[in-house]
Amino acid sequence: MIKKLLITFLLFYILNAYNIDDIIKYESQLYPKIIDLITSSNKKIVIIYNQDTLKYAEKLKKLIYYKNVVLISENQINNSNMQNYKAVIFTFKNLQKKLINKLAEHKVLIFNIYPDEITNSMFTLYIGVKIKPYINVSLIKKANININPILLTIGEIYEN
Amino acid sequence: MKTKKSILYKIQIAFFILLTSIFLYLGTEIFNLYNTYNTLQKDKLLSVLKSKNKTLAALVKFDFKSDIDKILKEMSNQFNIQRIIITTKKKTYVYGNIENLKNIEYLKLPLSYKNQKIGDIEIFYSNKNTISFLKTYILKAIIFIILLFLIMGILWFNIYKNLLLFNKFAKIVEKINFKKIQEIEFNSPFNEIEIIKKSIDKLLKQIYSYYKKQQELLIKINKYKNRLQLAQKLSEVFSWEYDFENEKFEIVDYFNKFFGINEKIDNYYKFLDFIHEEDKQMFKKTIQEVIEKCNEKTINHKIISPDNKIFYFHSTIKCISEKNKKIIIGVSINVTDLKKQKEIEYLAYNDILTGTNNRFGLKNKFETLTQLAIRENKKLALMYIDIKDFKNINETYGYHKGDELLINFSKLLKQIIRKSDLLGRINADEFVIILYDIKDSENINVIMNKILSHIKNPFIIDENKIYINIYAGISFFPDDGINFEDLLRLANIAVEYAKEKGKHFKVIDEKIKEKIEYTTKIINEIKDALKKENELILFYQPKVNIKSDKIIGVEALIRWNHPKKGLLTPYHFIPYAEKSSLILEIDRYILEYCMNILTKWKEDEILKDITMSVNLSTEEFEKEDFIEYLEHLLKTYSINLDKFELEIVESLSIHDMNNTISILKNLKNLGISIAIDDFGTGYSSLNYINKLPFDVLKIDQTFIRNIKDKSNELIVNMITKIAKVLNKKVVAEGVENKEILETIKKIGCDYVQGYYYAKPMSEKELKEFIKRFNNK
Repeated sequence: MIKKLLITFLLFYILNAYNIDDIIKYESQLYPKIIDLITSSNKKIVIIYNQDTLKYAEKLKKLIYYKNVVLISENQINNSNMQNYKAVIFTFKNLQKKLINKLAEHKVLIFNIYPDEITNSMFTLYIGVKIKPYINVSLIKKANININPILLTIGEIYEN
Repeated sequence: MKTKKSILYKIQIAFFILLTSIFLYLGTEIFNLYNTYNTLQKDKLLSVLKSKNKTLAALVKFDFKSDIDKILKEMSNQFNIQRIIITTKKKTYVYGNIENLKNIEYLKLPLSYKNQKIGDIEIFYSNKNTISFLKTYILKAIIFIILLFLIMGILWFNIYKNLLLFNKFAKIVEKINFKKIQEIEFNSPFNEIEIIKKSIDKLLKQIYSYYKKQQELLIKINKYKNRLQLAQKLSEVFSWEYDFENEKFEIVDYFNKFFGINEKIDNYYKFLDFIHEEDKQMFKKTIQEVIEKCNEKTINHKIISPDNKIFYFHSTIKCISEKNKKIIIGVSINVTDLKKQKEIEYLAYNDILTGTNNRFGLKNKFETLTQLAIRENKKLALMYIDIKDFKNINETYGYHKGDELLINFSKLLKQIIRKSDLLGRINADEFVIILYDIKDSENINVIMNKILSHIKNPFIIDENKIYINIYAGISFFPDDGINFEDLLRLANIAVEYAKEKGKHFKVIDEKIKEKIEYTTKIINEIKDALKKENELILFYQPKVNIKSDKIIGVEALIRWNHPKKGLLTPYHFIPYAEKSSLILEIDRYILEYCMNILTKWKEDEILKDITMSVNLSTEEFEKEDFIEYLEHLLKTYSINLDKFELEIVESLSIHDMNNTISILKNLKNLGISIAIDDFGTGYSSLNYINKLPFDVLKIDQTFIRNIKDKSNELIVNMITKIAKVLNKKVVAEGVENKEILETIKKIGCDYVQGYYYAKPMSEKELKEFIKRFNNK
């Protein structure tokens, strides 16, 4: 328990100490690989932004090597056809549970650029001694997605 | 080939060991492989499990069943896992099903998530792979072994076959007759055999060469051995060996052959048996001494052969040391002949009766003495002594006493002469003394007088008193000659001179020498005359038939037409010829001459009916080949045999009556007419006359010339009558006048010969004379 607290503190500290631009760079490389590990469909990767995070979304889109990457705003996501998404990357915090569940229903992989938004994501970035994927196993499991066991070995498992 | 020592056997063993090793190795390997493979499998599985542990643990922790299944399926497929059971507190995951418990392996591992055990994973997997792998491996191994067997079998068979080739080759080598073959005839495809063959060929050549040399050597050895044996045989040498320590004795085989001994002489004591009793002790003693001192000795001894013949031997006996062993070696030389030779030598130079020198001995010593005399400027005198009438003494007292007399006489002479003088007996009753350092005749006189005074006393031989008398002739060295034979001859002549003059001794003087010189000269001249054709000629004295008063024959008489002295009658040269052997040559010369003349006369009108009489000397008559010679002449010259007559003197005819009768018979068989010449001077008995095969009696001219003497007339008458009785012709020789002729006519002789009618004349004169006489 104490360990967890310390880690959280360190996380918070580190997270607060990190630069989001740098994180986006790491994520732009990591997230596509995670996506490839789990699915090989031709569906889109969607980067979702709000009025404040557009620039992060654009940057991310620029950095991700995938061709089929679209940007949609927060407002559009509820009305979009989630069936065509293989993964979404949120660029903001405070995500709605409902949205998350819906995405999970459609077996869409949920990412967030903010490492501490793991509770509402399947994957974020874990920044510690090493930088590795942060995996919300329960959410993945809830979405009934087959996770590549490799991710379980290399990533950090979020346990709530 | 199949003995333990054979290469093939060893190869077989090697193959067997190899195969067994391989088999065992493979067997062990299979077992090891099984375990190793099994272990590998397990380790691999463990490794995978370990690597997957984290993933699996995470999946199990968060219950990603499909992912779990996926991994388990993946693992199952990979490792032939029959069943996987993951057991946690909350859940158990099972994958697969065990179909067959056979060959199932079990593995259990803890499952840990973040270093916390969350469960266990049990794996049931099949080692089918291992077994499958092993089966493959075993199959390959078996195939490999079979192939190996096959290959080794083929290899073995090949080796066996090739080794058999060696065997065959060896058998050929075995049969090689190194005496004939220098090279093996064997073709082989293999270098090894070829190499061996070449080596053997080289060896064979060397052996053959060596063998040839050995053969030559053996031939030489045998040749030398045979020569040695022959040499031993010829020189009658025996070698023998006596090993006295081991009592072994060996002698050459030739000893047995020489003495005709069958028994093998393998024992020293057997050999001793052949040593003469007289020498046995000495022989044994010598052997003993040689053994003790181990030295060398020579001895002379006799050996008795089984047939009791004595042989003289000279033996050299030596002790030799061989390997700390002493052996006696003996070489015995048969000197029996040498002994005889020495005896012969003694006899050659000595007179066996008197023990003095014989002629050769004297001559030999004379040579030495002359050398000394020359050096010391001394003279030698050779005294030739002849015992007078010694033959009579022998006949009177016997030969034994005669020998005794000679011995005593020689002893007497030995006593008289000095030590420096030599004495010898050169004939039965003839002695020679060689006196050293004789100055003149005075010394001779002293010695002779001494001898003569001694022999005045009789020699007492077995109670018989025998008186002897001697004649002696003396010659001097170097005055009268330097040669022994010459001096001897001169001394002998001096003896004859002494006899003639009735003296006891005569020293050679100049007169005698001159006479000798003359004789020599005449003889040489006669020899020359014989070589020439017309120097020695015949003269013919006619013989007249009293009744018919015709010349019916002639007596051929030799004349010498001497180149310096003119015509010489026989009186001048025949006596000299008779003293030498020339008389024989003269006889033959005359015979051939007569044959030649008679052949010529055959064609002569006047001479063809004339019978020629030829005188024959005693020497010629008694010559062994006389008849042969006459036969040869008769074959060479075709004469009328009835015109040829041989005259032999009566004294000759009675010399050896039987021989004379035999020769005369042979002459008669040849068809030759025989006349007994000088009849009445010999001592022929009537019986002898009766036996003699003759045709004509020639009455000696002494009776005819002195026929006036009544006794002579009676003799002539008697002889004539005897001749008539025997139906022989009579010739009266020596009719010198008419008175004698008349008497002869009255007596009734058939033929006459003498100066009354004619002296001997030449052929030419004869022809004229006959012509005139017969036609008067």
